[in-house]
Amino acid sequence: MTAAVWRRPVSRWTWPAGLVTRIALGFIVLSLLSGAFDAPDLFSRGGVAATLRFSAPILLAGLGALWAERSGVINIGLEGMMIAGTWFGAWAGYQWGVGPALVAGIAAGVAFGLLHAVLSVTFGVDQAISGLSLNLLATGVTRFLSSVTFATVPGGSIATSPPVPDFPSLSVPGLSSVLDPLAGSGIPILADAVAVVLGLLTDVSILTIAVVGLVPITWWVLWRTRLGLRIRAVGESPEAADSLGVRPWRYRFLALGVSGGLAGLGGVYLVTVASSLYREGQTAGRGFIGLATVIFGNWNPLSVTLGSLVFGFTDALRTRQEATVGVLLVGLGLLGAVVAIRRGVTHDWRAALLFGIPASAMLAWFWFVRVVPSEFVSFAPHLTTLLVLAFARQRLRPPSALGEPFRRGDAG
Amino acid sequence: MGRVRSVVLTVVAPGAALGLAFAVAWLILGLTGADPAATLSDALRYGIQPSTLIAVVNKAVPYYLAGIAAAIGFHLRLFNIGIDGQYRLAAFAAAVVGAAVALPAPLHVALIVLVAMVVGWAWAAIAGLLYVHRGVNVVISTIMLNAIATGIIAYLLSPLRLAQQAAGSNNVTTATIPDSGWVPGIPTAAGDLNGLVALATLVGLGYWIVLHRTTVGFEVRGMGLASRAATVAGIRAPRLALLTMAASGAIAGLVGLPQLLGTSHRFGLDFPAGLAFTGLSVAILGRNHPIGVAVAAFVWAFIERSAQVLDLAGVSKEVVTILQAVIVLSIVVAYELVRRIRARQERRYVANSVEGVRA
Amino acid sequence: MHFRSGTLTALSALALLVGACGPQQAAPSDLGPSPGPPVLPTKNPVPLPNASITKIAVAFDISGRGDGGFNDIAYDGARQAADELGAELREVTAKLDDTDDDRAERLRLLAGADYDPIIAVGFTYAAPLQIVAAEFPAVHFGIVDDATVNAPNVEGITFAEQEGSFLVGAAAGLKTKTKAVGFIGAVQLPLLQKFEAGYTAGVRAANPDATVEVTYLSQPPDYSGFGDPPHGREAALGMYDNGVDIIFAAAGGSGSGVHEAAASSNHWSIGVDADEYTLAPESVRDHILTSMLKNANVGTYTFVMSVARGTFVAGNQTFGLANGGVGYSTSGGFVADIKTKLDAFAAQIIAGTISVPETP
Repeated sequence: MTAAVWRRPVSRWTWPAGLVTRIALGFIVLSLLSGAFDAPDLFSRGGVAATLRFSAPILLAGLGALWAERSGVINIGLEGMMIAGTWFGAWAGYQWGVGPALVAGIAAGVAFGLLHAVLSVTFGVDQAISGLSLNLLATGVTRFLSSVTFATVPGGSIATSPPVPDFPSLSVPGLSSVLDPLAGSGIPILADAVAVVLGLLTDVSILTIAVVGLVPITWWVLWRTRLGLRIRAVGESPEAADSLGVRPWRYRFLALGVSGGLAGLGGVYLVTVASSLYREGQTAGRGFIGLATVIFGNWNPLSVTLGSLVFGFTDALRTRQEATVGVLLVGLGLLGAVVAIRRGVTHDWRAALLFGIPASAMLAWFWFVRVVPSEFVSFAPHLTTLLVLAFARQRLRPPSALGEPFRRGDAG
Repeated sequence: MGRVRSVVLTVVAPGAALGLAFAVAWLILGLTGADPAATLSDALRYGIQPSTLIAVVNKAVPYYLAGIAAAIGFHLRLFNIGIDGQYRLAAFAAAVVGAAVALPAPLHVALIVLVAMVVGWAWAAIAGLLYVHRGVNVVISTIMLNAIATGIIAYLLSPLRLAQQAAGSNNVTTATIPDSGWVPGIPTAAGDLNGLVALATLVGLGYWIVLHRTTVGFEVRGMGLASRAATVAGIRAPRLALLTMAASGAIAGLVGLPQLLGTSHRFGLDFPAGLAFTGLSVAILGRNHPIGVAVAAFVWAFIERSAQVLDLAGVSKEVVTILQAVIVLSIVVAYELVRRIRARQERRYVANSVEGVRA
Repeated sequence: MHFRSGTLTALSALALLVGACGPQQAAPSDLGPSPGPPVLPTKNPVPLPNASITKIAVAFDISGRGDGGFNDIAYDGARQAADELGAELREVTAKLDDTDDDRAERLRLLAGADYDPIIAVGFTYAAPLQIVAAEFPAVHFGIVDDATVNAPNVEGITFAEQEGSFLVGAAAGLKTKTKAVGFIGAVQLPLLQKFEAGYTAGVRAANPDATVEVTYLSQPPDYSGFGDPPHGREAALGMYDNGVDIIFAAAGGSGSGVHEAAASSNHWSIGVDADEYTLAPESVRDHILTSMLKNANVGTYTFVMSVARGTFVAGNQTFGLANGGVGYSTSGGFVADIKTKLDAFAAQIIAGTISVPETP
């Protein structure tokens, strides 16, 4: 097992032509649909910017989960680490600015990550219960800290911090003036493509850029360095790694520290870029969504990014303009229909039905009803994630030792 | 000799955990400026009153059901975070059906229980099917299905559809279930015990019997212990996973019934949410054993109930949350430490015996 | 928090006035289509067994104090009453997975520890209070946002949120340049739909051509919409991008995100519950057109003082425009030019010539 890991420098940083083609195709279809059904917000500059801001914290949690799980430890405590990041980020941020916010938020996340390591690695506590308890602990500790800090300063309360400054934003110079006319031209597909480019390249927070940069860095460290190899080896077979002189506990501590730090950074992102204050409950389950993206992404950084973008994109859609969710449904319905037809061609009738029925139901709904009730709009990101996963049948390959405590020389 | 020691250790584990939890609680209370001795003895004195104990048992019943639902999944390493969505959807459907029909009492209750189980079963089966046929991880699918269940209930729980809003109220509820669908409390000297305690007992018993006295149970345990060996032995893993997930959902469907049948008799916006994590924690603490889970559910409920006194003594909610986390952690850490001591002793014992034989 | 200093003196004067007048039975027109449950006889105030109040308690629902809005304001009213009476004030908060039993036990513990009066905040306490009130007939209970508990020792403290929302809706209708305004609610609950209904009616009344875009951030029992500024902000930016120029943020803690969006895109927003102009950071306050005031403190203060004075009367008391329970703020002076029109609407609502709907 370890030998296989050792020899095969699994390059998970390939840009599969298929994936790129599919994304491009999906974009073209959705773009045409948005024109046909008058849903201008499907691809707009603002929508793309919102997608980035929604995806970034989820991506950070996802990368955090990736580090932890690659070393063999499930990190259900990500939500708690993110909460710690929001609180300490805001606490340092409102007093001393964004730099200290970054340091404090990451440090708090690291501290919680290491606590998770002490519990689950040193003491061998069940990883899930340790993570769940850390979530409880973070909620309690931050609320307590708020009561002795934020509650006593003007502009703050037991649940809210005073305003926190934002990171500066950057734009590609001149791009806006060149492309704005094109974006407003109304030319099908091209206008949408330009809007996407504008959203991605103008008025982007430097923290967002840093987050994007963390994806290749994570890949490089985990797949191209000795350190990463050891972390992954520990996640696949701690016993084998141990016998080769790689101490599992050391690498799990390290991986969990990084994991917590990334989640803490996600917290800082929430209090600075995504909003401008700490607000209790602000993480709103983003840690868990991040945890989901790592499974969505089959434990590799590029797909984790894709997963967080899918969620962020649909979340932005439903939050910004409920009506566009209907168009998204049509898109998903068409996707299901395509899969069904392809299955039908190969005479896999069961699968054809399995996809055909919900797909035609979705198309029929939109055809007859048009309006998606706002209660249903609220779960559009979740439904989309689920359907994308179901359509894209996965062969998941989690790290072999995921969830297993490592006890050296201990048969019991 | 070894036996005596092992018994002692079994007692020492929970004792050490309690001691550790107590020490940490003391420390935290001291840090927050409360008087630890007075506060803790207040909480304990309140906790062991007969009426409180009845209330604790009543509170523990849904936790127990959620714990068993989680435990069923754990046997196959299925982390059913969907318990939350499953029981809310099940309780909602059961409330709607229960209010719509009039039947003789036992039949009425049986119908409501059946509806709840079927809805929980079906909702969990979606996750099971996606897992088996499309390889979608259960953690993901159940997180997403929880959100979808929330949306569906929100849509249906509207005065325009299956619910009503009383004049002057800001709550939206289903119609009230007629008397014949109520489960009366079991009267005791210290107050009424929720009638659903009986159902919970049956569930625990059924869980144990299925697990230890049937082929399916044997297969599930085999799969959990050594999945490769079990597959080689001819156990069909996908079928079993689907079955387990759906069974977990069916039990999860019951979680809302103690409140629905025993106290509120209707489903509304004030129905409790967020029991999935409690269920998972309780199952882990109770080691998936029907009695262990019962003890864990009781302890969890006891902590939460006693905490209300802390709230009153000026120790705020946040401190209680911290305490809860710390107590759970001390319990599991103590378990682990004792396990290590025992393992070391066993090794020494075996080594000694082997040497004894040689000599 | 700043809210306490300035406005409260005026409010408390008003509250004293209201308290002295005794509970006013709301005219049917104020309540709209549903006149509420039968109100108990109001002729003979229950004489007070314990004229001196020493321990007051407030039991919150899951969100609790620190929301910078409704809960804090409700607490402020109780705080003020406690200070004036020299009484102890205790607050307790519910947990997310609390059942009716837990809430009942919380009230029972408070009543058993000689807290009197006890204020339960939120409709989730209705069913538990119905039970506990009967067990402690000598203790006075007030329940905020619910009018269904029927007991001789319980007062329902409800607010005509739709009336205040109507006025800020009218302000939005008068001020919009794009003839498109927005409403962002935290969680789609009947309580918040009262805000939506009143707001929409107000917009229509002032500007029949204007459209109202409505969105809620989450669905119950997912209460994340109350504390999720990022979603509030993106929802607002989406609306502004689509031509809306004024948004009413009935979004609890997520409202700060809406105000921020208004400031960054140079549009208007409208605050809720408190006078948010005075609470918001300086960078955004000049974009808060007005705020819909829900003076929960008037309700809680009046209730506590009525118990202290022996003028407690069971039944529901609605706090609307007529008795200072709701209103709109003028801080910043952005609505100074339309104030006469808004006050005319207010007069019509009080007079009953405009009936504001409670449901959208």
